[in-house]
Amino acid sequence: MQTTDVVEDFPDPRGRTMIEGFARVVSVEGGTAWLEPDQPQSCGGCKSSGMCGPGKSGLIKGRRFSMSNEHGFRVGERIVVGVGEETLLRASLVAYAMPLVVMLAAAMAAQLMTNSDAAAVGAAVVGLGAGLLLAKYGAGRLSARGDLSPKYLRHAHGGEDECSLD
Amino acid sequence: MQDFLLLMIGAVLVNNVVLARFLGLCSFMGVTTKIDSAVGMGMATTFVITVSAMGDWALETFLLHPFGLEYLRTITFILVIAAAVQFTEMTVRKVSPPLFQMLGIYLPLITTNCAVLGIALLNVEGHFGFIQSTLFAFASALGYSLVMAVFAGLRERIALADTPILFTGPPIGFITAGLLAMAFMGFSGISTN
Repeated sequence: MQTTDVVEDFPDPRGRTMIEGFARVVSVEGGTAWLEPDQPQSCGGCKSSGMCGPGKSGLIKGRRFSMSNEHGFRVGERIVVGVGEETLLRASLVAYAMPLVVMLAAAMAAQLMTNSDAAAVGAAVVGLGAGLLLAKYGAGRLSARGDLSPKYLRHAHGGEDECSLD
Repeated sequence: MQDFLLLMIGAVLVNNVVLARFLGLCSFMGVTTKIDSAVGMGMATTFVITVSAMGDWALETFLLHPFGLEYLRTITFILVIAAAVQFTEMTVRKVSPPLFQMLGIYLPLITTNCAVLGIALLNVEGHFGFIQSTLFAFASALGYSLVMAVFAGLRERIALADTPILFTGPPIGFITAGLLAMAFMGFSGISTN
């Protein structure tokens, strides 16, 4: 009887340690290349893609980012960029969990001290503001460490798709 | 304090918003092909659900109920949810543009997530105070995120499994979701009263 190791049976399906995405080089200025992320693949099949948030060209433009042009990108090239797998989780924790926890703690404390709903509402608003300031500080630290910037992985081959699992 | 804890456990496990109340199924099926996008979506939704539940509670208590405007509840709540999503998007963009690059893509999807409106309406039905309503919304959203992460993990593994060709993709996903919902029914044995 053949025995199979669970780990071997179910390796990481993507076999990578980066979250990958596609981006197109839109301009090159000296040593800096400007890139725009590709529209999410799921948008292509949706009839409302022109109306929803990710489908709007304005939003894609707003998500434009820069990268040092050490790999000699040319305008129009499509490349694969990636961020560390843990980065998305860490970024989500900083952006959402931190303000939420501070807000809930402030509201709970106000409720337990005053037993008044109005005081709890006020404390929640103040807590949310304080939490957002903390998030700003946290995001600044993540950014300073360079965790939030996408890194160049490789050039995209023709027909290469981000949803290879589907 | 114990009441709060029971309310939260009930909302996360026993009356799970996805698997017991069947709300938010579009994103449950749509964003769970990769575990990282499921977690990102779950966190963003948790934030929006909690903030909008607070706004909805305040409007219901100080405006709609005292002035007999309950018939405007649904449209008011939808407005609050849209405002909460917009607020979140603007805040994340302002707090950190690189963070917005990474997380911003999930935000517009939340506006149309029926779980957000469903939880606000359940709050009204439950006649909760501010803290109970906020904690209920937060815990329901945690339940949503938990199920999203678990289901995404399962689907990532199923993608590698040798599935009959007719069942590949969404069909096996639906079957797995059904099995997961049955597993969560086990939690209804926990009495939260």
